[in-house]
Amino acid sequence: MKRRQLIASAASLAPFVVLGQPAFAADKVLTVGAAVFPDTLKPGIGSFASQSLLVQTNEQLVQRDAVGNPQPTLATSWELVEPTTMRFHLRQGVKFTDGVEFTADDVVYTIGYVQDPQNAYGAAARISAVTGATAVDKYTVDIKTKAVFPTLLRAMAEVPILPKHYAEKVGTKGLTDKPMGTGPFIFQEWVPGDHYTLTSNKNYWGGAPKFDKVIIRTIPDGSTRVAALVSGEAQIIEEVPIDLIEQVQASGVAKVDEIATSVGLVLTFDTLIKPFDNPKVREAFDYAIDKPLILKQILKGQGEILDAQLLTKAALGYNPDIKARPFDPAKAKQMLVEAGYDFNTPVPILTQNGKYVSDTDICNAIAGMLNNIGVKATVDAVEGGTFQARANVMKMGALHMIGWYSLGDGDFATVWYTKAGHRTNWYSEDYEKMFTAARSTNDEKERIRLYHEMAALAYKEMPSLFLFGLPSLYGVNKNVTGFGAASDKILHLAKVEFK
Amino acid sequence: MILRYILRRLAFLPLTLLLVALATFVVLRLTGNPVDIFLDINRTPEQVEALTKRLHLDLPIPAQFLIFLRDLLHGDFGESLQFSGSAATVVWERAGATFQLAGTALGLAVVLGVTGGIVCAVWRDRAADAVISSIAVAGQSMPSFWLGMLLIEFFALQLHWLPTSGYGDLAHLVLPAITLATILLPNFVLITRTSLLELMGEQFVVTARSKGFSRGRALLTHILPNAVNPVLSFLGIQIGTLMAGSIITETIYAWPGVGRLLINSIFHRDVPVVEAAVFFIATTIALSNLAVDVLQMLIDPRIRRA
Amino acid sequence: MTTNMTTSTMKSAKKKRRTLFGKRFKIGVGGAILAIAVLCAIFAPLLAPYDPDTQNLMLRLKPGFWSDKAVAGHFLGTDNYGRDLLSRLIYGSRLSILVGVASMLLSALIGSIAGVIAGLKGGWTEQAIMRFADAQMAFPDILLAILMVAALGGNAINLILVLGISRWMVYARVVFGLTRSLVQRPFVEAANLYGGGDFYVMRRHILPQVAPVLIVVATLQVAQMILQETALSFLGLGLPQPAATWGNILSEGNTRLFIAPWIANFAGLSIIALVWGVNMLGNGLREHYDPKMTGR
Repeated sequence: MKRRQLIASAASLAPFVVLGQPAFAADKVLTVGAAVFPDTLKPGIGSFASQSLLVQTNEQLVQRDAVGNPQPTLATSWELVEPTTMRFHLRQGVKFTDGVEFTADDVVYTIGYVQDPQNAYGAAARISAVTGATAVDKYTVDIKTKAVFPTLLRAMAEVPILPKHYAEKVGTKGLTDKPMGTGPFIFQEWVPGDHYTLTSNKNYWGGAPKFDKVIIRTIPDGSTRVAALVSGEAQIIEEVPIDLIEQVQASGVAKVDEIATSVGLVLTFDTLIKPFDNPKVREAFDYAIDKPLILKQILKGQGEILDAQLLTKAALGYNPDIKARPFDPAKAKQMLVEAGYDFNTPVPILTQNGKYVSDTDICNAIAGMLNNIGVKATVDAVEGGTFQARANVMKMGALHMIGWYSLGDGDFATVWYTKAGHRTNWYSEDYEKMFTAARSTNDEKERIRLYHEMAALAYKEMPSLFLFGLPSLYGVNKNVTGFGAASDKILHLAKVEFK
Repeated sequence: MILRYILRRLAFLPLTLLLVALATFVVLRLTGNPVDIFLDINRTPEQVEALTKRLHLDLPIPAQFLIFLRDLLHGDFGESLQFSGSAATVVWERAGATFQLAGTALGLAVVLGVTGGIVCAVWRDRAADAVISSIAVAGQSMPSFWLGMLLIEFFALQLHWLPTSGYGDLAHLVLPAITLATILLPNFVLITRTSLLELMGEQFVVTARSKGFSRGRALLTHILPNAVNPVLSFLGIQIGTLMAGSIITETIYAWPGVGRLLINSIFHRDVPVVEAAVFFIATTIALSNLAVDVLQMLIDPRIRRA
Repeated sequence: MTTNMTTSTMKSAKKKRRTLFGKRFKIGVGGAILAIAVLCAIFAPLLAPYDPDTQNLMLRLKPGFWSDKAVAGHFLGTDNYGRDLLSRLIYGSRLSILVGVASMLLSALIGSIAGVIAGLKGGWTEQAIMRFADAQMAFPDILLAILMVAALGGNAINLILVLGISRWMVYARVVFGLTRSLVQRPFVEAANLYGGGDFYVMRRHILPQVAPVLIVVATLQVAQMILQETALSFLGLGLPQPAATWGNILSEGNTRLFIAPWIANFAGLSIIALVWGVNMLGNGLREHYDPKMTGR
């Protein structure tokens, strides 16, 4: 491989740089403090963190806007030419940053790349119904699916386009070591575990960024990240911890930019474990949790209480007729007694720490509330590997917490309770049927009706305790304009301006 | 003579490393199937199969270990799961940052620690000794990550003198180096103090003093040269502490070294990188210990008998 | 450690000077601090003003007596869930001391047995045990603990087990060295000649000689273990909530150091005080048993 510059040699340049200020003062540098940093720029890792970096260089056919709706990007328009074929008309005259023109061949190549199992592409399952792509002409592509596939367009927002000529020359390794695309920024330097530096693409089709360079730095610890913002080391930071909002606002240098995300935080029961096979027990737990108090005190009013369903209010398929159950500990206790609940049953709540806003805090508060009605709840905060391992064998214990993204559409979210989703032990034949029906129609009204019914079923059965729709909180320096917090946590930096 | 000693010690090195490799291998296999953990939740069966093959997980465990050893002999830990590139390269790329931090911290700790120890020994049981010794013991007792945060708050947030975290110029190095040095420094103060005090009671020093050597001259010509050895041997022991401390320190300051890489890789179950990083750390410690021992022999011929 | 030193009785030759920091002072102060902490742990239910686990989300992150925002009754303020910090610290001493002492006992047990066996048997047994100890010395203890906790999961038993296993070789080396030197002494050889078995020799002759050294090493190791628990908590591998240990109170407080500094600072001060006390006690004991002994 082409040996990347040793970190040690980078360090020898240190004397040229003084106190965190870049040596070339003429360069206008935007510094972003990232909460979660991917370990690689390999295409298709599939996490939001890695996607957020990849799309700086490689754009998709469509991108989600701040609230999650697909917007024309490398495709200018699209239509269904057949129920199972979608035609994309590509933006003309767009050039990759090495000067080669972007054409339909690149799209075809990318779809093939995603489908190759050797590439372990994260979003492969999201377009699993795709059978292939063909170039109609230089600027037109047809993407064919096995069956009707209403979420194809939204799924294409997960797939940054790879340049065919470059990919064939350098391979996956080259794409990872030095990504290159049509985006607003050009790869400059990648230091794993520390930072990613990009220069502005002066010929960007959407208008050249108003600064020279962007450095995306990893600052995993929340308070250090806020410290970097307040001290001016970073102009934008991701994920301001809720308790530190006050510190940011009070600093006078920065403000908090907030947007509701499509992530629904839920505590899911393992319904194979007794007595959680009993829907009455599950419902009783719901009454025991004072959601408004947690929203007010721990989330400081940021975000929303889920209306006893997986979907947040803005998502397609949200059912406005269902409301969250009120907090009623007496009723909860009574229901448990009636159901013959054994109060000595251990109820471990499994969660990851720091994956979602205030995740552990919320779990601990809920454990405390359950303790108040005599339920023996404890919190088991584990690291990602352990969590993942238990998720894969579906042995999560009585309750586990996860934030489940809908990305604005019920289809993605409702997979959660299906057999194919391989996520929960709760199973309902009716739910399964409705899910399949919703997935196989292009009639949006019908889809929405089905999602509403699925939500109603889940409300009755309570396979999970539905908690909060979480906000996405960015800290932004007051001199920065043109930055918008995005609900999918992808950084949109091309339009940023600052003094 | 020295050469034979070095060769004998080097002969034991592979044994040490083999045990380290075995331990890592066993522990990592206990933590579950890396395929399950690593692949995206939306993974396809084809992806699972491809990765299982790549990691040789379809073979029986002893066979896996043999393959692991065979690759190890070629310096090959396999391809990283999360990074592109071989695990060995990934670790080596981070090694520079770790050496830079650990080296600076060790330098600080030795220089300040030995100086402090001399002060304590010379003015034994006076105010200076009492103050320095108690601070040293208190320093030994301080959890380093708390100290790190306090330093960030004071120097970065209050005074704006230094950056909060990250990697880059010398300013970025100051706080991490101080934090890591603080873990070792007290030990050097105390060991220097003890060694010097012992030497001051030795016959040859007392004789020298009675022959009219001044205190300062006795210190320089008789005591300090003999104190080098105990301090050196202690330094050898401390390399392990230094590497362990760097894991914590790198995590506090988002320092892109091997320690943070290792923690990260454990959490992501990037098995090849964990193995390579553990191996790197163990080798560093073993080789440093060897270097210290050889140095000691060169300085003090009496040890060669041992 | 300092094998190159010739034995000397010169300590008496030193000027008798009033010592500011003598062994008595160290043992006294260190012992007193340890005693206070142990008493806190034992009588936690009597001392703590509140239940350490009872939450009150309306009273999150309230400062203590020094502030005019303090809430009556919460002397040291409250934590992230509105729990009383003082009560949590008092109860937290239980697990912190338990983990520190129990893991020390475990590693002392393993290490001593391994060391004695290696010293008595010699030959291949010695090589196997001591080379294994050497190998583990090249393996940072925290690293082993991280790997094992990640594999086994964090609860008190696992933590004690993991910390115990990660430090046994410290004792093994000390005990091995002493046993080896004792085996060649006439009285041990005599005991062997008269048919005293290994076990007899160990109990009758070696243990009494080794005990004082072990006590010193073990005391200092308790301090290390308490710090180790703290470090694991920081890495997210400590004991899970709502259990209170000084380590997890500190690491939780650390993430809010800039807005609620009292949580981390009081937990940190408690740890410093206890570890400092234990270290003092250990150093004092060391000077008491053998003024010439160095190394750790």
